[in-house]
Amino acid sequence: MMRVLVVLAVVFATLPGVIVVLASLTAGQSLAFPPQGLSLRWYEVIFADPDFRDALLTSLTLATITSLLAVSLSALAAISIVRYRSRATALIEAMLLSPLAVPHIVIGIGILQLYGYFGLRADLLTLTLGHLIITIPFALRMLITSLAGMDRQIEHAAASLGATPRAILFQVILPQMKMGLLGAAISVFILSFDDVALTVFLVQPGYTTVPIMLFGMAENQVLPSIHAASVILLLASWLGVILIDRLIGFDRFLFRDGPSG
Amino acid sequence: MSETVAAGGPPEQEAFLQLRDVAKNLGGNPVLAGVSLDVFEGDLLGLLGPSGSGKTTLLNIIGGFTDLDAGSVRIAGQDLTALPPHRRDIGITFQKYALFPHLTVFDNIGFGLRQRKVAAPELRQRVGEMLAVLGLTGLAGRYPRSLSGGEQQRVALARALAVRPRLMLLDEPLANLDAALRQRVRFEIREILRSTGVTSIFVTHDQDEAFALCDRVAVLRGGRIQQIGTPAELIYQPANAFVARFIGSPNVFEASVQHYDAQTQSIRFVRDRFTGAACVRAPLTPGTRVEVFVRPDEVVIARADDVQPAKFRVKDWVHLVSGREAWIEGPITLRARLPSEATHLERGAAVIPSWRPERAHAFAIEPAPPAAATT
Repeated sequence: MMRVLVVLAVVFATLPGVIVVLASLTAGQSLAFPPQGLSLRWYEVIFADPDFRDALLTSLTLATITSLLAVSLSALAAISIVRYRSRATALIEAMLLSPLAVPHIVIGIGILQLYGYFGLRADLLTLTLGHLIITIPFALRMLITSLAGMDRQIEHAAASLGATPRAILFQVILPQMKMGLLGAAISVFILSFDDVALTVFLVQPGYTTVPIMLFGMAENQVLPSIHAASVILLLASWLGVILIDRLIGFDRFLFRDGPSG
Repeated sequence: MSETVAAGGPPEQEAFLQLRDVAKNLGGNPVLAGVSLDVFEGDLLGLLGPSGSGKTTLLNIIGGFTDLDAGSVRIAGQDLTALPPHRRDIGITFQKYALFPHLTVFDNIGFGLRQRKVAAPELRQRVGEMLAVLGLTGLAGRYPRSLSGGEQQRVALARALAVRPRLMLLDEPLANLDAALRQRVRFEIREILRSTGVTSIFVTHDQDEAFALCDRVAVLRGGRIQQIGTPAELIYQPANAFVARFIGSPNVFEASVQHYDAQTQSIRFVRDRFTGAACVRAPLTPGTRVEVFVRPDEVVIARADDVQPAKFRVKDWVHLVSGREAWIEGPITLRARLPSEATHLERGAAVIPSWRPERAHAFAIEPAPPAAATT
C-alpha cells in the first residue's frame, strides 16, 4: 500500500515535467502530445529569438548577482545574530525574516508603487533589490542554522592562539560555513531564477526574465517553443539540486543533522 | 573569602598569576563569589570541583571569553581585565578539543604560529617538533574527524603549546577519553607540561586526576575556593566539611561531642552507644552536633573479644581492585578497606572498628551557609 502511494506521488510530481520535455521535442508545427516525431527544432526557434536570449541573459545575471549579494549579506547578518545576541540583533533578524510573512505578490505591488514614486525604471539594480528582499529570509535562515550548530569554543581556541576577530572570521568561521554558504547560494539562485509572482511587477517590455517572458508567450499562442524554454528553466533548477546533492548531500541540506565539518 | 589563599607556595615570591576577589553573576546568580588565587611560575595547579562550582567560568574569565563583574586578573604584574583574548598569550585546551575541523593536524598545530607571522621554514620546524613530542608525526596530513579521541587530545595540546604560551589552561582534558586511555594520557600530559615548564591550571571534577597530575589543588564549590593545598593536605587536613566529604569518598555520620581536648585538638564523640575520636579545626563544646568523616582505608576492624561488648557485625564483603571492603553494621554503618591478605572475618562476625584520631575529621553542623550558586 505504502509502495503504491510512493509510486503515485513520484508520478504525480514528475509527470508535468516529463510531458513538457517530450512536447518540446516534437517535430510538428504545433503543440501535441504525444509528440509527432522527435527533433530539436523548437530549441533552435527559441534560441534564434533575440528577446529570449536577452531574457535568459537577464535571468542568469540577476540570479547570479542576487545569489552572491543575498548570501554575503545573510552571512554577515547571521554571524552577528548568532554570535552577538542582543535586542538589536533580534530586531534585525525579525526584520530580515519578515518578508516570509508577506506574499510575493503583495511585496511586488508595494515595490512597484515605491519605484513608481521615485521614477525608477526596470533595470538590473531594481530587479536585484526586489529579489534580495524575498531571498534573504531563506538564505539567512539556512545560515543561522548552519552557524548555530558550530562549536563556539573553536573560535575561543583561535582567539587564545592569537587570532584577531578579523582572522577568526576569515580563517575559522567562514571556512566552517563553506557548505552552508554554497547551499544557500544555490537555493537563492533557483529562487531568483524561477520567481514570477514578484518579478512580474518589476519588469517592463524590453527588460524581462525568462519565466515572465514564458508567461507572456503563453497568453498569446501556445507553441512548442514555450516548452523548449521551460525545459531550459527545468534544467537550470535540476543543475542546482544536483549540485547541492553532490556537494552537501540532500538530507543534510534539508535537515542539517549530519556531523559538522 | 577575601584573604589570599596561597598555601604551599613560597610567600615572598610574587605569584605569576594573581586572581583577586573575582566575582561573576550570570542571570542573577553568583557563579563566582570572590575568588582569590595565586599560581606561581612553573606550577601545575589543579582546579577541582563538582559541576556547577564555577570552574569553567573561572577558566573563561582567565582566558578572556567572559567579562568579570568585580575583581582583577593579573599575569606577571600585568592586569588582563581589559585585554582581549587574542592578546593574552594563554594556551587553552577545551573539553571537546575544539580543533579546527577544516584544517589538517599540521595546520591546526601551526595556526597560532601563522597568526604570529612566523616564517614558513621556522613554522615547519616548530610544528614538526610538536608533532614529534606528542607522537603525532604520521598524522600531520589527517583531518581531526578521522582521529581517535586520544589523538585529538594530543593535537589540542600540541596546538596550544606550539606558540609557547605563558600560561596553559586545560579544561577537563581527559573527560572524553575511555578509562584505559585516561590513565596513559594523564601521565603523558604531566610529562609534557613538566618538560615545557609552562605554568598550568588543570580543571577537573575528578580528584584522582587532580591528585595524579598536580602539585597543588584548589577545591572550588559554589563559586568559592574552599581550600588550596597539596593532595596530602586536602586528604589529611580538610579545611571544612565540604572538602572532607568531597575527597576520598569517606564514611560520614552524625554524632555529638562528648569531650574536647585542647592539647590534641581532638574530640571524643558519641553516637548512640558508640564512641570514637576525631580531630577538629576549632574548639567545640560538649553536646555540639558534628559530622564525622573517616575514609574507609583508615578504619581498622578487629574481632571482638569477650571483654569488650561487640557493637558491630560484619554485614558484607565487597571486592575492589585495591583490596576488599567490609561493610560493618552497628549504631552506624561503616565501610572499612582492608588489604587482601588481611584476616577474613565471616559475615555476622562481631567486630570493633577503630582509627587513629588524627585520621578522622569532625566539623560542627551549622545551618547550611547560603550557597553561592543555586544550580
